[in-house]
Amino acid sequence: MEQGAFIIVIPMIACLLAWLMMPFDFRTNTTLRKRALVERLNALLPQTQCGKCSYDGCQPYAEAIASGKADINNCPPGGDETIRNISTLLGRDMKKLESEHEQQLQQHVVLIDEQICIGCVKCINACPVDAIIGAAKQMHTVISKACTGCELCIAPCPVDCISLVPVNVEIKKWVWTKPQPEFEVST
Amino acid sequence: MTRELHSFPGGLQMPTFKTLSDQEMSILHPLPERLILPLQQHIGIPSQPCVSIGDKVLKGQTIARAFGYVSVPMHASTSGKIIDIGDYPVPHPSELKAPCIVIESDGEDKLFDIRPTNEYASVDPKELQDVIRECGIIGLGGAGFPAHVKLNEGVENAVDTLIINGVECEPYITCDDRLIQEKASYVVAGTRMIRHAVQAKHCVIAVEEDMPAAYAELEKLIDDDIELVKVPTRYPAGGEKQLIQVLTGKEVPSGGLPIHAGIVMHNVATAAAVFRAVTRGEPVISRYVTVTGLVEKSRNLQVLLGTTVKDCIKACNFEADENCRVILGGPMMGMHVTNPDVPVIKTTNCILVQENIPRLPEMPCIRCGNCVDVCPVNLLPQQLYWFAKTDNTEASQRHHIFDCIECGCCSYVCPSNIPLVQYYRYGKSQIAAEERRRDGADHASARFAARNERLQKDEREKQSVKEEKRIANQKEDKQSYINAAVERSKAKRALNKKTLEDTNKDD
Amino acid sequence: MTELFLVFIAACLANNLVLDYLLGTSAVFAVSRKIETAIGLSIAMLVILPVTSMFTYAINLCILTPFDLEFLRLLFFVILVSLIVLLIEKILKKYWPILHEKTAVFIPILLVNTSLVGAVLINIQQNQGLITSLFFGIGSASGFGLVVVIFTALRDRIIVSDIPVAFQGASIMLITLGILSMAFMGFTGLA
Repeated sequence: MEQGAFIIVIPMIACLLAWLMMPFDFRTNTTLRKRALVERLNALLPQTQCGKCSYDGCQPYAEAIASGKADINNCPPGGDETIRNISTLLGRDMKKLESEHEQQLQQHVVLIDEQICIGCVKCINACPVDAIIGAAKQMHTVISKACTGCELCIAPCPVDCISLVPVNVEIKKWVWTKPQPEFEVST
Repeated sequence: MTRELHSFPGGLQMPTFKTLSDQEMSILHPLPERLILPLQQHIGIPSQPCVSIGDKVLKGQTIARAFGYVSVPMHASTSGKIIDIGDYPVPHPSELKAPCIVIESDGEDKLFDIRPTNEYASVDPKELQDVIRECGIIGLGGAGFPAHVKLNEGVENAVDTLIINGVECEPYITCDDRLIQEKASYVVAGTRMIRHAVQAKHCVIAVEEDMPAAYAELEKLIDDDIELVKVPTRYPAGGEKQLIQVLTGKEVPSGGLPIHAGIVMHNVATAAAVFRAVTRGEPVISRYVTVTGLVEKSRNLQVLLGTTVKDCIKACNFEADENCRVILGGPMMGMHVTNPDVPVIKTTNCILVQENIPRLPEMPCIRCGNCVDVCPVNLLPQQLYWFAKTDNTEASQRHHIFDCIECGCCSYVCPSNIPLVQYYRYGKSQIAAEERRRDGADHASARFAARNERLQKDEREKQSVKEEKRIANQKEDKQSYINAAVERSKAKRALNKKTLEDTNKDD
Repeated sequence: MTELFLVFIAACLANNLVLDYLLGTSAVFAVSRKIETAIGLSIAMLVILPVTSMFTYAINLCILTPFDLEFLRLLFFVILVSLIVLLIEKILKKYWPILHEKTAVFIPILLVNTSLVGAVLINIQQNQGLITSLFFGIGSASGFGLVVVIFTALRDRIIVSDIPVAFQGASIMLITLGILSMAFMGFTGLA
């Protein structure tokens, strides 16, 4: 029995020592994996670039989540759906939205009151997706299809001519509501 | 040649209540004063109006043109004047309004100049397709898919079997039964036309076992070219995929179409409409509708499209009030309408008036598995319920939620009274909405990237302009330096010259 | 041959690492959110545990016992297990890159996993030979994998259920593990 063991043990110890001689290499492509993770997180965010998560846009927020600096439940336009998707990706528990803003889910667009607009281009410079067309001293107007409801244009406007309007529900975009049972659930 | 019948998994035996309305001949609904015709009665792109307010139209005249491939035109159901083109309530679960054309009938019911297609058997199948499209024919069994698209698939892919579906499996509904009994010749002739259009090798007309009169009528008219089959009564044997499984034993692949199994299926009413369209040029302007339930006189009516549901119920000596619930369709798959002024459209097969008893409360799921036993598509309703409830869209899709035909068998047997189909509809619409949001996000992301590029380009241009200016300034400095140096040397030379002259002078 | 099979069955079902010895429960909880991670950890254990148990048995037999160093067993094995895990990771990376991709993320869990060290020590306690150690390792890893997969499925159902507030989170998981442990007690007479 002892002889048999020796036949296995000695080569194994030899391998071990040989391996120990090599320098330890703990780098396991963490940079590459992290970048892939950031990409995947960014793909789950709604891309409104609104800054309500207190980061400069969706990509910086994704980077913050990946490096652990930010929590996963700070995105109001994404709402519960985004939090759920991120929690599934990272293997964490689902959380409620924690933000001073309400959940939105891309249901608002902005509207410029053309009577009041003075053509100052401040809102055009503020819009992260170039959804406002116009030029200096010319009329500005919002392309509703491109507007994500990020509200970044409302603050810069010096004459307060931009307002938030809900998107009309058409038959094509109508969704069924979830049945609400009457019994109480503790979660 | 008797066909060997197979069976589909699950399903239910249910009380059918068909004798309430199938005993008598159908009657023509009297001409209503006003007809409301929605521009979208089919799956696909809504048709576009080609008349204006105030125009006078004749019965069968095209009032809206098809828009795109998956679309059909719409025709006036009677003669009269167009009084409005606008948003009116339509039979849709959202209870929203949709664009409609409203015709005020002039009482004369004057027919438009419609033309038949002669000698259909020698006509090119493509031409038949055009005729069928122009007459506005869609799946009249309730699906509403434009018939010419299905026919085109038949022309492009080899069709093994054409199945004409007369299996009316849902309780209370008898409109197809009465149609076959009264217009069997239309059905059979239409079947032959469709068979010519898709060049099918085999042709089957299927009826349910509890429709003996309809079976007898059809038997008189068929030859060896068409097979007439009686299918055992079981809900939902009339569903497209289920009927295919019963008649051929083949299963339509998940997410696939019957044409992938070499089969094309049409409803008996569609076949009758094809006959009308080809032999008379008559478009789809009326249909058989069963009015049943609490109404005093349950029967089938031949209703002009655009007649309101309220009028149809009135024609059966009943007034729907708050104690009644009006359902368009059957008790399993029908749609509850709260506004009785919605019109009858091409896909309305039944108006069911029920007592408005309060629903039993939903209780927690006990994981009994009754729902799994009865699902005709072999899905896992219990799992789909949990996933839809917890908004787990990824798991729902993995469990094939989109293969659910929403037949209602699972809700029927649930001991906890859980409205399972409502959960699945919610789940499906959430997935669709999520996809729309993702498309919106991609769109926004592309615009954001384009904007960044634009700003960077502007920045680069600004930099290059600055650079050029700087170089130009440098050049200028250099030039002035040179000029200054030249001046200095000139001045020096002049001075030297002067001093030389002076010294020479002195000498 | 039958003895080896019995060793395998005993290690897998009757004396399950997670449910009888209650080792590695944190690893079970960490990976049982998704079925993919659960299977990943099971495969990683299946690759590492047999090799580790054989190797440590041999080390114990040839180095520790002859030199009367049994008291160093725990210390030695903890370090040795970590080194072996890293070594196996390197070998996998070179020769089976696909397998390596799937299991590399679990290396941190395995390095400090009580179940690995515990299994190795139990094996030495049993002291039944080198080949038996191999089968013991395979059996323990299979048992661990079985429990992890079962627990993932249970967890899916627990999460969607209506749990009283006092029991939400770790409490209900531990209670479930306990009940599962009682269920596995039924295998006691098997080996």
